[in-house]
Formats: sequence, structure tokens, C-alpha cells
Amino acid sequence: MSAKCRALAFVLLVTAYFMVLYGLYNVFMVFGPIKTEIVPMRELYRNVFFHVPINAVTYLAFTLTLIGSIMYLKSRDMKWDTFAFSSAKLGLVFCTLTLITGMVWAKDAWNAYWNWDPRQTTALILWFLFAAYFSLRSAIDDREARARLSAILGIFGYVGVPLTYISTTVWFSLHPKLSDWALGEEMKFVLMLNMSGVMIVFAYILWLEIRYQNLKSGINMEKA
Amino acid sequence: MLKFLVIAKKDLLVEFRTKHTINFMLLFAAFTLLMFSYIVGIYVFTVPNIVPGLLWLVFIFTGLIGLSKAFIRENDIGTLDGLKLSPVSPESILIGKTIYNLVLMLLVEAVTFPIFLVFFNVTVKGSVITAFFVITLGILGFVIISSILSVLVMNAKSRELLLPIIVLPILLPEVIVSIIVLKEVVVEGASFINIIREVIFILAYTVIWGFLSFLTFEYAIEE
Repeated sequence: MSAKCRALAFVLLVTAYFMVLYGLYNVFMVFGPIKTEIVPMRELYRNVFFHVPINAVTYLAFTLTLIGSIMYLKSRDMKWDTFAFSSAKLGLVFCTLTLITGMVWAKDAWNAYWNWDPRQTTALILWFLFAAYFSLRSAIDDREARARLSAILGIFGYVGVPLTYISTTVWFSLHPKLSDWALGEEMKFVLMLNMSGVMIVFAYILWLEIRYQNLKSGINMEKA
Repeated sequence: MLKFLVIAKKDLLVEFRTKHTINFMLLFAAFTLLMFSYIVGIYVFTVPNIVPGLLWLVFIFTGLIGLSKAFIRENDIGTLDGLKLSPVSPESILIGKTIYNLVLMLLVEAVTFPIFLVFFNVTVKGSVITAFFVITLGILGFVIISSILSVLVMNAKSRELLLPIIVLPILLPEVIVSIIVLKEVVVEGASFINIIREVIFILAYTVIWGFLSFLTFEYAIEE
């Protein structure tokens, strides 16, 4: 069971590697500038292939944390706590990467790394929400209380995800939407490819993280 | 060796083994930095433009000191257990405590707001009642959010530092909108009709949090 699982994970990881590699090759070697009114954006659009997949994974990770938190409160099974916590950990990493890729792009597109665009503001708030989640976890020693209280905060913190998502429509924002740009069919395909690749990598790291946490706490989830 | 150096070394060793206090302090510093740079950075720097933000900072720090007491005090002296055993629903406890907090905050607001206007020499271009209403609405959300969150940190280590770290990110979206609206009322003289969209946002955000804390309070308070 376990050996098969590991083999499958390895095959998936190699597939994801080639997917992202093919994507990168296209982004830098094949694709030309796109047609748009805004001149710098003709080249800068390439960031889409990094920024968007990473951000999608951020939302996915925090959604899994939400699910894990609700399931923990319902079942009181520690494996859901491990699930929620591991996913939040990765979500925080991917959220950081989203902010960085966004800021690097904004330096060229908006002429400043940071300019309080609603998208930037809400994404940063999302980051702080889950930083708070880990602060709370580190401050409670009792295992059961930690799981229970951080599950509640995991549910609360999720408010940041829809907030970040709708921020560009509710407030005036310079943040481009995908539909603003004339991406060709080939480009959309590569974007989907990159997105799937990054998601597989995320799933793999999440799997590793959960296994690591289980080994650490001495609970073997695979046998349960 | 000098004795005070030994003591300092011991404390530093203990701190850097867990890094509790320093991590919380850094997060708190980062977040206050964020709030300050937002308040100063989004508009042209004039006194009326930044006054709404400063007023909110006063309320936030006052609230953070005072609002957590409602639960923490009862928890520390052990009467919270009695309250839990008594035949009242958990929801009644939460709502009662929230109303208590709200009354305290409204008193603070009623005293601070006029003094603030005098000290900063600001004339409200729009209606003062509208401005007061907007702040009150924001404070209602603040009280609801910090009441439930103070229950979460009740038994945690260094909870005085932890509470702001947890409350501020959740509070910020609402405060930002409140600052924007307040600035429109104070500087541009916007009437209630002009700001109805933002007021609905603050109201909706408050209702969502009321709903969420209602759903989760029972889990938060159990032993």
C-alpha cells in the first residue's frame, strides 16, 4: 500500500516537473508580446504564468484548512487537525510567494513595489491572518485545546480568501483581470498546464508534510 | 563576571529557545507599521486627511487594552466555570459580554470624539451625526470581533501580545473602509446617501462576524 502510494506520488511529481518545464519553455522561448494598449504589459504579462498558479494554490491550501478545521470540530479526530495545520503552513508559503511575484511585477507595471492597491492590501491581510493562526498555535501547550481553538481561527481566517478574491471588483483597483488581456488559446493551455503542475507539487508537499507531522507525533495515520 | 550580564544572558537564552515574545513582537511591529503607512500613505498628507485614521488608531489601542477583560477577568478568578455551569445558553454569555463591551466602547467614543475634533482643530464638512454614526458602526464590528477572539486567547501564553496579532488582521478590512468613509464625510462633506455602499459593507462584515462567533462560541468555551 505504502510502497505503491510512494511510487504513484513519484510518477505524479515527475509528470508535474515536465508540465512546468514545458510551460517555462513556452513562456520564455515561444510566446511573443501580446496585443494591448498598455505598452509595458506587452512583455510583462509573462508573470501571469507564475503569479496566477501560485495564487490559486494559496486559495486551495486555505480552503483545505477550512475543511480540515470544520471536520476537526465535528469529529475531534487529530488527523484533521494535522491536515488543517499542514495545509495552512503551505498556504502561508504560497501566499508569501504570491505577494513577492506580485510585488516584482508591480515594480515594473505600477512603478512601485507597494502602492496599497486593494488586491495587495487584502492579500497582505490574508498573510497576517494565517500568521496569527500560527501564533495562536505556538502559544497553547495543551494539544486538544490547541487543535480546537486553532480550528476556530482557521475558519475565521478563511474570510480573507473571498475578500482577496472580490477586492478588485468591490474597490477601484489597478490589478488586471485575466479577461483584460488577449491571451491566445495556446497561452491559456500553458497557463492551465502550469496551474495543474503547481497543484500537483503542492499536493505532494502536503502529503510529505502530513506524514512528517504524523511521524513526529507518533500517530500512524496510514494504518488507521 | 558581572552578575547582571549573567541574568541578561539567561533571559536571552530562554527567549531564543522558544522565540515566543520576539516573534509576537515582530508580528505586532509589522502590523502596526502596515496600519501607520496605510493611514499616512493613501492620501495627500494634510491634517484633515489623516485624522480619520488617527482617530481609529486611538479606538483600536484603547479597545485592545480594555475589551479582552470581559472574559479574561472571569477566567482568571475562576468564575467563568460557574457561568458555564449555570443554566444559561453559551450564546447568552457571549451576547451579554458583547453588550457590556459595547457600552464601554461607546462611552469611550462619546468622550473621545469631541476632544479629538478640538485637539486636532478639525471642522467636519459633512454632518457630525453621520461621522459619529459611521464610527459607531465600525466600533460595533470591533467589539463583536474582539469579544470572540479574546475567548480564543484566554488560556494562551503571552496573551496580551497575542490578542492584537489576532484581532488586527481581521479588523483591518472594516477599519480601512471606515477610514475611507470618515474621510469623505469630514473632508469632502459627503452625505449619508453618498456613502451608503460602504456603510452596507461595514454592516455586512459585522453581521458575518456576529454570525461566525455565534456558530463557534460553544466550541471556543468548552473544556
